[in-house]
Amino acid sequence: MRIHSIFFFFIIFSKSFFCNGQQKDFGTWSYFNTQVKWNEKISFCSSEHFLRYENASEWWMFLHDLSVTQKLNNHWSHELHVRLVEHRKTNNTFEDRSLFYYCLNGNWTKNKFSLGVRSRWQTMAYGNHWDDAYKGPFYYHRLKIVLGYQINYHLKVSFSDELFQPLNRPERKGIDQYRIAPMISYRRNKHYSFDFFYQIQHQTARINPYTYFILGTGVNFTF
Amino acid sequence: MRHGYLRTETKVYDFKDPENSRVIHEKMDRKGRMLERIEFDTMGRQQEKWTYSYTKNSKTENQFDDQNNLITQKNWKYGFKNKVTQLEEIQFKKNRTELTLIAYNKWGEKVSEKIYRNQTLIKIRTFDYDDEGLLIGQTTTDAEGKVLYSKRINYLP
Repeated sequence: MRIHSIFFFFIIFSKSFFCNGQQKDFGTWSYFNTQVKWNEKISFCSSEHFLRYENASEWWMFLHDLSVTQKLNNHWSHELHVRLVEHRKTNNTFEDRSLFYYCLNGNWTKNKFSLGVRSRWQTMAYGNHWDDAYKGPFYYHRLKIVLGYQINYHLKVSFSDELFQPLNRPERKGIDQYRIAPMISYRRNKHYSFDFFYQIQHQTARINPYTYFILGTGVNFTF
Repeated sequence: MRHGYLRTETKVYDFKDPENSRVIHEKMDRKGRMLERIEFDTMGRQQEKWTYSYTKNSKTENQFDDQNNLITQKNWKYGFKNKVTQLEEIQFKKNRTELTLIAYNKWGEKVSEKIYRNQTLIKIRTFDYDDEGLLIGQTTTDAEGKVLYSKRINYLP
């Protein structure tokens, strides 16, 4: 009963907070991350994401991501990613979007509390550059802050806030999206962990902004 | 190094063995690392002294006797995430050097220690972990692989 109460609290909180005529939708986000550790510093990751929208009744996007991560020291690491997005359009076709992005991550822990900061610099293009429908590249900086609490070896709760800042879209000034998400992570052991989250994606500074309420699950494999 | 104090003086009173009573002077740097430790007897005579020096990836400890002769030197080398990868101990009076090489796996867990005495391998310690990263076993063998010592750990609810 308590879990249902928390869930409905977030729905009502979200709806009341963004009741300003903005269009709203509910969706789901599932992902499978497979990470191979080369050594203590370097690991390679492959990630598949599946998103649904329109009250989770329709496929929205498929994301395919490859990355390499290097830990620099106890606190800092960085990543390089290449991602292909298959974005479903209203005419039931899929539009390809390609992303390249670099992340610089900082992480600090004190007792059981943790603070994570991620600065992500990305470029995204819509379609192939030889197509008429090609758009971009669009450059973004995304800043994400995560506060976490490690309950025990297996369980961790966290809350994240991410801001999207377009760098070459003059029609969108300042921040054009922000996301907030509480998350519970369950770590089975060093090879498997599972994430459960509820994310609010709020678009701003555009003609037809949406607010998405996303229920998410993720599975992480590490070898 | 709390409160900004860089030097301390500790007086130890051993009432059961009064000859063991002593005074210890310690000096630290601004990062709280020990620079010097000197032990005096109750008459104020220096008994032993240790000095420490540091670089980005290493630490050296020199131990002196009451005549200020260098008797032992220890050198630590640190690798990724400041974990010890090498410990060398030189005993000048005994003309003996002991070197320990420490290896870690990709999870950051210590998996082996190889111990050399005067450049000859004498012992190998290996460490085993479960999937949660808990130490579950330790085995010590001689240079030929003969098991000298074995330990298994079970974690009980």
